[in-house]
Amino acid sequence: MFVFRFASLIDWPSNYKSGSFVIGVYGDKNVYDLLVKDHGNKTVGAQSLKVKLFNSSSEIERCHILYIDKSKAAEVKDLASKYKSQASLIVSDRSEGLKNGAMINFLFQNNRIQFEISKTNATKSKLVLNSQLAGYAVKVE
Amino acid sequence: MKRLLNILVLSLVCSFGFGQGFNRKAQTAYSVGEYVVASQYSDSAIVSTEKDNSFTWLLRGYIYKSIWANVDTMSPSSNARETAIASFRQLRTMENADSADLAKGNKAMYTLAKSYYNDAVVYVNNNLLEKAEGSFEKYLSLSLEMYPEKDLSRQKIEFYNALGSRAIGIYNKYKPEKSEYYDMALSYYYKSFNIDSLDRSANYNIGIIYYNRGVDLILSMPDETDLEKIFEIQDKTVELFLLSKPFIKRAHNLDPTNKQIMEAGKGIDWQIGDEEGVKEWDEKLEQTE
Repeated sequence: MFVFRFASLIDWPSNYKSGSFVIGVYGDKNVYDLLVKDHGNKTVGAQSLKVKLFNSSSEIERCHILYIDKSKAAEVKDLASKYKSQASLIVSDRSEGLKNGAMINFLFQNNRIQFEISKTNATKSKLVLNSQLAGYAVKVE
Repeated sequence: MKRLLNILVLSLVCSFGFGQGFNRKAQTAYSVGEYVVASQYSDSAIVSTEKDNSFTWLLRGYIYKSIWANVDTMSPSSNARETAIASFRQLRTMENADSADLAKGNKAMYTLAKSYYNDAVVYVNNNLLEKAEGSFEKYLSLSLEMYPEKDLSRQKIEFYNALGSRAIGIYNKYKPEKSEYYDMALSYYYKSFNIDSLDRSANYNIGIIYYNRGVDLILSMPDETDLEKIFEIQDKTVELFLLSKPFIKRAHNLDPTNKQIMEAGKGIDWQIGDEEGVKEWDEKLEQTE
């Protein structure tokens, strides 16, 4: 739910505003299945949503949002560095994601999913995070 | 001729006012299946001197029982069944009751008590849950009136679990409408739990109903739900998952090799971000393979 919701709270560069809106899921089929089931036929603005599952880093293609599962936490740094020049929103899960270059990192606090954001990392990839995100983030860098 | 008429009138007065007149007539009508006629004589018998005879009440019970069975075609709303029970109950209170009458009356009364249980089952099958509960309570109270030492706990647990399952089935079919059935299901499951807090099914059912409600809340969030609302819903779901947890844990302790319960436990821990818990469930599941 959060991942899909982020799509409308980020401003992508104009060259990302045509074609399909791609959410890539790296390393977690459950998240992929949920996204397909709940949002598979939805649109983000005028763009139709496409959800892709990547099982290895070599499979990863250009995405608007790349969700990296916690089982792949060790790869966040490399992936963030690799895709820095692209306007891909990198979302990590319960790792030191922001430190490793992710723009949004999920974490559990008090049994609840929370997130922290890095405006700095977002700016490097020409992404603009909506102020609403900062309002709900437990930490803003 | 006048003398003959006087004798005839006297004879009628005697038969209506004394001895076993009403009972005899009632019995005759009863024996040929004239149950309503029989009931009229029997109603007269209980306001005559015959009321002190235990057979009067036994016969009345039989007659009204037959009206319920044959005239009212066992309708759950039949007043005749209530009258039959009241008659057998009266028989049971008589100090000088004939022991054979008493035994027959008890047997018939227990048959009628069980008929309320049968009504309850029919109501359950027709999703008339409140009526089912009413009939079941009636069955319980009659059974305990007759056999106060009888332990009906197991039967109660099973019935309330069945009511709960039926209620949640209706809720799942029509959700988010008919949410009152969710509350009903929860209340039925708690009735079972309150009878025996170590009943595996009651614990599992309560755990699952909370868990599924939480999942429903997540899945029913519209795409346009804003972050404030998402967090608000998350608070509610976490509350439900945490409510669910001890019940599922107890159900697991009671049935440690049941994989369905383990999967539920894992699901809860996953939802509340308890990674250690998920790992433990995974290990248990692996050991159960």
